[in-house]
Amino acid sequence: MVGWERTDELGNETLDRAEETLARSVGGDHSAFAEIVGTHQAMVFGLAYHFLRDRSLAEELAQEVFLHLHQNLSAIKSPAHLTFWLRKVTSHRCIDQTRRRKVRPQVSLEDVPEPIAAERSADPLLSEMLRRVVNTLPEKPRMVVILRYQEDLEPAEIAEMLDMPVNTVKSHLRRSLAILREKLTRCLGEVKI
Amino acid sequence: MSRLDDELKLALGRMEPSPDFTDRVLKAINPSPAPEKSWWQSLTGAFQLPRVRWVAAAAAASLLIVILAFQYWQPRPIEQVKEIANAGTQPPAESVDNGVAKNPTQPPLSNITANNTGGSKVEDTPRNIRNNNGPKRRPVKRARSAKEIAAEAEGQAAKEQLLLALRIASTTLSEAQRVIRGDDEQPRPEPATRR
Repeated sequence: MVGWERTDELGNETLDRAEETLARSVGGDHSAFAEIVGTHQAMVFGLAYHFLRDRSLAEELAQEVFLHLHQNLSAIKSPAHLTFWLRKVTSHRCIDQTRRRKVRPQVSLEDVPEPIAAERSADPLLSEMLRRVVNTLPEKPRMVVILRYQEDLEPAEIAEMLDMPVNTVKSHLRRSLAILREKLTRCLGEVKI
Repeated sequence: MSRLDDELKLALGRMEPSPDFTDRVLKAINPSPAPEKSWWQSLTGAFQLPRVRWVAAAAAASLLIVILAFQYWQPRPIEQVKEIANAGTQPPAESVDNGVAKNPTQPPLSNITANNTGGSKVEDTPRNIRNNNGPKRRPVKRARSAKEIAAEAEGQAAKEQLLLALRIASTTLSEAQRVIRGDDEQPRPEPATRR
């Protein structure tokens, strides 16, 4: 069984509705397709934004992904397959775009501003710093981390999505977390993460 | 799960794009259709292509030639045909007696065969005419034959004229096609070199 065939995450009613929407969309119903876009835009845009760190680029890429989806709707077999397809296409497009445009990490660790306070109330700053640090990772480990923490995917699912061995995914995750912990500890000093 | 995991989940949560994102996607899927051209614009647009323009000009010229040819070689009016027919019905006496028409354009009456006796053909040779008296000369029959001759001659002439006109049109079209092909195949003249 491949990853997208698992449908136990969705309730029966939700699944039926998603299937109906997908069927209507395949049949050429634009309102149904708009519903699909509305349902999945946060996922697609989020993946693109966390990877590219550029809002307009991320929106452009997300739009391209949905246009590509519209052209390939007939190939989508189920709502679970739709989610898998969107994640996969978005991930690959993000990596391709970064390679094509030579978008390197825009912020080095030294440029990351010092947090004003290292308390729980300063989480937005910590989150922003984490995003910036994640952005310093190489392309594939970066996407592995984003898929792992944004979409809450297991290493096996990420491996299937990015066409790489599971052990490579686990290795990327382990090393990325070690790098992130080290960089954050250097930045935040005494605060233990 | 460590605190770093929690923080990463919080930091890398899903994000909403601009509020008009869905509309933009739908607009990109359904771009507004180009304004439809009227039939006249489509027609004139077709003639913008150089090849089509040449072919259209050649076709128009051929059509014009055919129409002019028809006008020039139009079949004679019925009055003229009647005159010719009447001329055929009132031949001079000696010509009837001899069975030979004076008019050189008309074939001799002696060659006309009548088929009014149940399939047997009676040839109006001078001897037959001489031997037959009164009603056996059949003047009505001869007048009809002359009409037929005149009509047949007219028909032949019209047919020849039509064929000639079609031949002219065909030649013109071929010439136009040759010019079109020749334009593409002819090598460009090399610029004259100055010595």
